[in-house]
Amino acid sequence: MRRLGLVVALAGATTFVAALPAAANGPPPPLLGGWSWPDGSRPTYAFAASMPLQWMRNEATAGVNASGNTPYQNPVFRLISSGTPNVTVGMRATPAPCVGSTPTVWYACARTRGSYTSWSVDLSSSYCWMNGGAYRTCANKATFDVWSIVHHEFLHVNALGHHWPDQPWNSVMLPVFPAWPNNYWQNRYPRSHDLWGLATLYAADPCTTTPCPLRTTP
Amino acid sequence: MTRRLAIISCLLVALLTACRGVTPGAPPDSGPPGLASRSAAPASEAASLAPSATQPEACALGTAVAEYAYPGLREFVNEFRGISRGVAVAEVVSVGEVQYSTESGQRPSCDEIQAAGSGFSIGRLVDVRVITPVGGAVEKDQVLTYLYQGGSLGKDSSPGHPFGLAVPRAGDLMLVLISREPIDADPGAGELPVEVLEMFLVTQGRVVTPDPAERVPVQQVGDVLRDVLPSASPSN
Repeated sequence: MRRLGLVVALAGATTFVAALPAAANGPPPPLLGGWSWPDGSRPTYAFAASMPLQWMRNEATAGVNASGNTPYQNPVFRLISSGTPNVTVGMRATPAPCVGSTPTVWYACARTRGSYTSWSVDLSSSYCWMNGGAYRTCANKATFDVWSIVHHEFLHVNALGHHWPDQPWNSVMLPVFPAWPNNYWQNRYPRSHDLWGLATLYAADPCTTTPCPLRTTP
Repeated sequence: MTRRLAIISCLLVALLTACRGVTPGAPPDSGPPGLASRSAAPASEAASLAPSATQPEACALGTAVAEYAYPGLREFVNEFRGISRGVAVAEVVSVGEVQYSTESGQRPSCDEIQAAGSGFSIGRLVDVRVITPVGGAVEKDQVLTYLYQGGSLGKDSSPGHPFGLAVPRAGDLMLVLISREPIDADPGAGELPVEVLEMFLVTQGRVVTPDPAERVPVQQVGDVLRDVLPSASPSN
């Protein structure tokens, strides 16, 4: 099944090469839906019963936090164990619908539930998941890093779309996210173009993590 | 190849760990503007989640975005075994205009959007006629419908085709994966039945899949899919 992952990476790399923009840096990631979270939002998330493994929840939490702890006022999502969350993180078997109503074989899906402040983020239980170390859900299919994928999905929740950057290390919003153990299978923090995208939606945030500022204006 | 991948992965990990904070590995030649001011107050725990000035109307179509893996044609078809009834080579006979995924093609009501979440989408209806059944319960000359997703109408938009398939044209040959039961693509009160789960362009006698290294000759598709075709696995 190594071929499985290699093919994913190869397909991604090939598409990437074909999509190289002429400009050196290219545009930031496109925005998703033309909206943003209100200033000062502290929305919540919770895990569905479909994701019972604690190590997966820990990794997902790290991914959520990485999407929120940026130099911008995009929300830092707060984990709750009761009440109605803004985002539910769970798992579903594929094929299942994500975009529209036609089932297909996605491995991760983020979708709104009637409003832009209510989302479902699902990982496919039909693929394998890992923590970058010893924990894995299975070993016979393409394997993805929970932290990286949840981080990617929460950047969608933060209203960033998919993006082919000028260089793959400039964004984690590649539409073909490589499976372990290929290039970029572990992209756990926003990259320069992702922050650029967030900057188009959210005001600067007081820096609480050194070094500050994290980026300089080009 | 493996070594090169490992080296690149190590470089990436090194970049990730060398830079503290939230922007590991970000090169200095590109990045977000607007970092000069850092005087804003911390976010409020009790901040309202009412739509801001940047929100679209309350009746927004919603959005959904997915990531897809393509493990190979055989494995891909196998993923659908539980809900598919066959595979065929088919010719595109018509391609509709961009429309909403409703029976009428018109925008769904706000109530329907609220009830369906992101169930509505924008796309084109594509009719195909079966030329050559490859396997499963498929008959020659059957006309089947596919919802080619992607497009914009007004302020609404839906992501494009999962694997980047260009908008089909009449006369194109496709390898189509057919649903066991028609799927109602209209999550509202209407009905928009579609039967094709996914399709791949066939050109120059080969199936164009997301893996550029995989160009299965169309004449060999039956052999490639022999043990994963629906009719060959009744126990599934």
